[in-house]
Amino acid sequence: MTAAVAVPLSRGVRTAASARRLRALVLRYLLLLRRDASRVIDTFQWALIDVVIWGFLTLYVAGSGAQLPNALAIFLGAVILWNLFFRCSQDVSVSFLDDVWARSLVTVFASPLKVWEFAAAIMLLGLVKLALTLVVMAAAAWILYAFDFFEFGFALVPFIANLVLLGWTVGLVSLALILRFGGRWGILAWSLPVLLMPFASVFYPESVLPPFARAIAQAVPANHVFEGMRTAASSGEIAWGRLALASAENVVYLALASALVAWVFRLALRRGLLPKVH
Amino acid sequence: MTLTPVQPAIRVSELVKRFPHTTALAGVSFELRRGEVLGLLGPNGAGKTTTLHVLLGLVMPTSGSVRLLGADPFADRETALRQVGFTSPEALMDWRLTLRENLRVYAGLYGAPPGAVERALELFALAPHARTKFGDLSLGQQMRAGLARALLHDPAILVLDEPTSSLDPDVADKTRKLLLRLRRERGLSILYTSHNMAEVEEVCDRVIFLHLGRVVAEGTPLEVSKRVLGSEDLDAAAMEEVFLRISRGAVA
Repeated sequence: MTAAVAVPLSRGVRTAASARRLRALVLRYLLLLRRDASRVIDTFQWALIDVVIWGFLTLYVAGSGAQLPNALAIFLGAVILWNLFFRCSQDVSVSFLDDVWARSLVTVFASPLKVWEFAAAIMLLGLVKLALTLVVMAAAAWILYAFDFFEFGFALVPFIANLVLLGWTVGLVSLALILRFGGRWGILAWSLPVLLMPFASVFYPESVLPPFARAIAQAVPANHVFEGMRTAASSGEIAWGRLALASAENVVYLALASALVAWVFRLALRRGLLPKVH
Repeated sequence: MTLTPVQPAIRVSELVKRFPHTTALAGVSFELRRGEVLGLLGPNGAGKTTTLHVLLGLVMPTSGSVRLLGADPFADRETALRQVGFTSPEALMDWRLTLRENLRVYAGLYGAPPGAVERALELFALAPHARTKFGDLSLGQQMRAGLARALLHDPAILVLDEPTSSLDPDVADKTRKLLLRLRRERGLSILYTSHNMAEVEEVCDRVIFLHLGRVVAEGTPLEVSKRVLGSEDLDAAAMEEVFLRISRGAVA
């Protein structure tokens, strides 16, 4: 009698299989978006409410005689960018929570899926949802307040790219903490990105921060992005130095967050946490 | 995949798993031979689920090793786990997606061939429920859906954790017969856990009893019955008695 034995696969076969698994997971989350109305509401509702509220506030501030040139660009641009960061962060952690809530983590990870493929899939999904959110918010800002978010043109790309990287980083950290400490820490998916907000200088310049907060803000890439955004809105110049600093910080933080996820996943395997996360 | 000389479908060697406050497995060894149905039995807390989780690469052993057709699920999970289909009442699919959508996702994760989803739906008489959300299926339908998912990619090994626990007697009987037919037709090797001793006696070629993380009895159901009860008779009642004696520590 002979028996089949599992022989290691070639690199090409593995790459194709990885791509197929990534597609399968992205398909799953997109199907979820279609099937679960609450997910659609969650994706767009808060973003739209932010645009509406900050738009009115901006009109009020502008009408009160405050010396804030280009206030619409500063406030509405900021709120749109902040939501893009928040969306990216939340998509990573909530996609993981989806499996926790559905009690399907065991089913998913009993397949040949690797943890980096899982992370990559939910990050890719974040990009898709980010594009949808951006279109909806920009359209709302244009229709309601005649504010053209895309007036910055291609200069927006590096700003948004940096916020995407930071969103992925915060999302991965949330994911790692939820895997380590359980689903009851799911609240981190919403609260962790907000913790950065005071130091991100979203709606005010970093110069108003007290010295200790300003020191912290230097280590927050979003601070450089929003400062750069304000510079662009007021003077039309791109703060390349800020962007370079944000990019460098983001690369380091994303690498550290990825290492944290890998470490926690191995810890979860050793401690038998995966079947117990709920 | 290529063919090489004989390998057991599953080889478990001196498996030890210690958690901070308990030892779940204290040196478990066994083999699942090619084409056989092996019952992994024991009371709650015996170590069955931990053994299955180690086999599936979900829990790393403290020491010892597992091999799935020779592949280590911790060193090369892709090579090891693409050979395995798994179902358990604890391993669900997404309740918000329809059954067909869920199966499409898992077909992608396992690299199932084209048409696999429809074939699996037909095989388990689930085609009429293909557009029903997984969460709206009855427990029995969910269980059959789990079996359909486990077979999507035509695996060489099936790991079935209480596969008939939520099925009514009629469907459970049909499911057992279907599994045995698939074993015959596809040469499947099946690791099977169940608390239903009549089912074990009907389905399993060999059984392994675990108690407190150790193998305390192993052999064909008749051999184990002889050893534990000293009886030549084998029926569901005898297996039940074997289970009770082992659970109560009468077999060391």
